[in-house]
Amino acid sequence: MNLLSLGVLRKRGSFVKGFKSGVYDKQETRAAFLFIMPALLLLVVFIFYPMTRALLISLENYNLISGSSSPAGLDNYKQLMSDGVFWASLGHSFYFAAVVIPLQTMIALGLALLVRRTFRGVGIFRTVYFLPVVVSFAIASTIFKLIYNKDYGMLNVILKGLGLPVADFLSNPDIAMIGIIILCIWKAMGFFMIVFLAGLNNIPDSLYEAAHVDGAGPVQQFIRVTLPLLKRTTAFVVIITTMDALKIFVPVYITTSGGPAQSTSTIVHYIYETAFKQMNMGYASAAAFILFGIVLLISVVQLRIFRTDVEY
Amino acid sequence: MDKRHTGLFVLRMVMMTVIALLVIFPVYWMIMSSFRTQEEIFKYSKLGWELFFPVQPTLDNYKAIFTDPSKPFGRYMANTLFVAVVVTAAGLLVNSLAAFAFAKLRFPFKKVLLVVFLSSLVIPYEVIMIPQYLLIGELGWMNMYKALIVPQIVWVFGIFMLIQFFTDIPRDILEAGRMDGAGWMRIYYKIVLPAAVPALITLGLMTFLNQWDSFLWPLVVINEEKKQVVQVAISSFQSLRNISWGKVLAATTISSVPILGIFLILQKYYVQGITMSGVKG
Amino acid sequence: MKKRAAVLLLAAVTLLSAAGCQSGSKPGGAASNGDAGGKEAVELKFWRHDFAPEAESLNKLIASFQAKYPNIKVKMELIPNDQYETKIRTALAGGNPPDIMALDGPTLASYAHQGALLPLDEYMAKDGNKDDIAKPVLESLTYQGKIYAAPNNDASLAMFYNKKMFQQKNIPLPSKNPDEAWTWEQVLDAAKKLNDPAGGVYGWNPTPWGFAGHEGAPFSEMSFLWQAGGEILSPDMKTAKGYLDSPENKKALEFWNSLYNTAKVAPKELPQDAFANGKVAIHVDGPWAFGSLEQNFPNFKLGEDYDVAPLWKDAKQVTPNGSWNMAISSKTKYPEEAWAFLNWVTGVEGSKQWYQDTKNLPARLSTADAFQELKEYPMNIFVQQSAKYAKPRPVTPAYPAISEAVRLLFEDVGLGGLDVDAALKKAVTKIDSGIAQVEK
Repeated sequence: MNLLSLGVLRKRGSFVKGFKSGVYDKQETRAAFLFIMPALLLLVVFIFYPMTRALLISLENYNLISGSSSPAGLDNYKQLMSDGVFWASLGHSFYFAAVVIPLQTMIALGLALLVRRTFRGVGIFRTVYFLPVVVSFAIASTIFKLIYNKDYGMLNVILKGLGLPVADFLSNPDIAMIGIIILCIWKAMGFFMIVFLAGLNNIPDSLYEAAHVDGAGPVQQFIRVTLPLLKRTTAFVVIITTMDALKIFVPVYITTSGGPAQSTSTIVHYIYETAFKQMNMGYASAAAFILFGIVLLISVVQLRIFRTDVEY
Repeated sequence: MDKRHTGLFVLRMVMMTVIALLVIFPVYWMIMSSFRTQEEIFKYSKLGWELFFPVQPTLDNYKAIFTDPSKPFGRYMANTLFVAVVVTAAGLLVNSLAAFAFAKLRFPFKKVLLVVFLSSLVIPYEVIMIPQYLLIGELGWMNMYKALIVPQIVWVFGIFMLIQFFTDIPRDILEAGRMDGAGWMRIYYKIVLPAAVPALITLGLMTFLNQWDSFLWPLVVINEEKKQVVQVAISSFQSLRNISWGKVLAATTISSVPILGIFLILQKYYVQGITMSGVKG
Repeated sequence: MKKRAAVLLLAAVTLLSAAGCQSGSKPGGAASNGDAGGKEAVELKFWRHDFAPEAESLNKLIASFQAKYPNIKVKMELIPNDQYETKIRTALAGGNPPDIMALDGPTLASYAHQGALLPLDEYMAKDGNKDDIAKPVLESLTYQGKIYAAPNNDASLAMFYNKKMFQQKNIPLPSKNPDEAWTWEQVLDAAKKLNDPAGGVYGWNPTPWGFAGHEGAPFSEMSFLWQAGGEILSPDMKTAKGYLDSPENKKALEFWNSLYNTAKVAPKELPQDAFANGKVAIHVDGPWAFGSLEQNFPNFKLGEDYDVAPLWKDAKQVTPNGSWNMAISSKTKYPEEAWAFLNWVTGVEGSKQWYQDTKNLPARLSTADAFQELKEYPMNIFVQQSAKYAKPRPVTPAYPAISEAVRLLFEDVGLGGLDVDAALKKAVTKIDSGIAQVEK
């Protein structure tokens, strides 16, 4: 948790000051803690307590099925440092995230802009674009797996019929990850479109009118008004997408099982395989906590970069 | 000028339609294929109408999944519905309360708590599953629905999403409520909740969907087939030695129906309604 | 407002304190009760992966068992096939496994090594008719001299071929005699003639589920190495170095590479139902294929559209073996009753019933003897292969690492474009570190 305090150190001073000068309303503070309490209790019992246990397991040679363990100190962590497969899978996750975060955010924003104005039939488009969000991820992955097949999947039959080159997403290690990326963007873009729609909606029309009077064209309006005012929404989208992207697992597990030739083995897939197939729970937990540290660090940095004037 | 506008509009409509077709295609494929016989599903490999429509449409796949006495599919759907509804209701309450406090109330250690909450999103679930399973065993909740419900109620992703929406509610309105002598609880459900209906519906739908989707956790916690949930049942149609794709696709289609139904009924409240949400000061 | 908040807080606190109290109680407290006496009512929990025809047969066997032993109730839970291992391992981790579990052959050593299974030697000697079980099967169920499971059935693979395609191309049909298997070269020759990329037909699919992410892949791939005359581990199972990377295995993998990347007769992605849809001319599959083809593809008939020949060979004729078994948890309170049920299902009579219902390849000699159809085409191919040419996968707790390494080895060569030496080196490293891990 040391990382956490780093991120908020700067603010610490103001907390203390807050107490002294009585900035915090007593009743308000009490209400706030009451409101947070149920969520916090549940988190502590069902997330943080198991997490602590997992952290302890990461310091042991812990076999999944026997539960027998011997202390290992930092051995698991040290061994991971020189484990090529671990680093490769971490690399795959970062590649996935590096593509998905900007691409999906841009697509979602683009869709939001497309369906922003109300006109006849816009509801249908919004509904259709959102539709994949309500399809189960497991089901979506199964369907994409069948559609992607090199010779007989619908995608390639259509591509071949149109005289285009075949996309062998499931057997070509060079492009397999792209197949998973397409699946994930298809699944998630509708949700972030809605988030952007809500954000766009909160930009007062008067600002656009003012920009228009100043002679700004649509592109300039977008850059000068829309983007800056979407900062907080974008921050939310990017932070959430980052965390999800670095933890991507279900579609990998179902469509490719990490293949072909481990080209889509993401870090969580690696962790799952290590824990449940190799039954090496201690090692898997250690890998998970390294991932945890990395993601947390990135999130904290992102929170700071995106820090806005809007109060939380 | 007019012409140019019409041109742009047409271009835009064409673009939107193409995207819509691409987006809907996998879902269409699933539904269409569920009406095919097993022989037909993967048979056609040339562009032609047979590729897009069942040649011998059949309801056999649906009959098969609903008439198998050893797998009461209707019952699995009901079980899942129960769990999902309870988690959604409890989750909306717990998460919206926390989100409201984070978004609008001033209190010490807010940032710290926020980051603590956030950090729970960072851990891959697959790792805490085993310790969580041990905990459920120690609580004596094994094979009980509360094991499926209670740990799922708090959802930090949902809290963060609601914070986004709540932040846009002007504090003045809340202060005005305070002036009138209302407590924070009253402000929460008289002012904040009504203003955030689209957000709550979105979150509710997503919570419901998560529960409807949930697979690994019920698989390990529930040890009695008649208590099992729908995704576990679907996966049992896939066996190494004999995958009945027709049944799998029929089952996935059927299991998607409740979600799609709820979504289509509610969508006008938020997919459409979100642009006129009443949160603007 | 205050009341409401108070109620909320109270609820939360109750929840937490309940959690706090209970976490003090012992995990898996039920495990250590004394043994149960004769006629006391007993309930046995039995977990098995879900496969409809087998579930039906088990239900029958359970019914007849309960009629014979009215005081014992067997509660079977069926678990989706793909997730069976996850579920059973989680339950073992939590200290509350079922009394009796279905056990896939190659997982046996890992479980036995961790003390999760009850040794069955005494029971086997008493009334298990051990000598009736096929030797290679028994060997696959023995870890460090002790038997840990009883087999439901065995498994094997054979060459399935599309008869009509062979006839169209005037290719002589392979022999149905189990001792006259085609060599790799013979199969490849035929495959090259049958291969028709424009028509979407692959000549030869050498592994039943394609490059699958599960045990199905190494199941067939290991025999491929053995057929070339190679080994996977040293005889003492302490290392793969000097064994897996032998010249024989290099040759096998070069051949494998040519199937996918030079001759291009093998599909890198196996289409669904490829064989039945006429997209693969020569296929490899097990006895279970007959039932599923009959059910899903009634117009694709044995003898007319397709036929079966013994599995191909190279320097040696070797076929894979090992299938599902039943084992007793070391934590069961009712070992006697559990064995009674185990023996009811897997014993001499139970095995016969099981064969009748499921048509799985029998693991017991008495079953193979009892049915005329097992001595006739096509089942005789599987039966005789199992008796003469079967080789079990290595029985070692490091098996999960071995399975993974072999699976990736074939993927790296077939799909990944890695050269054979580099792929072998990677596999050897992985296996040896797996062995080191187990010995920790």
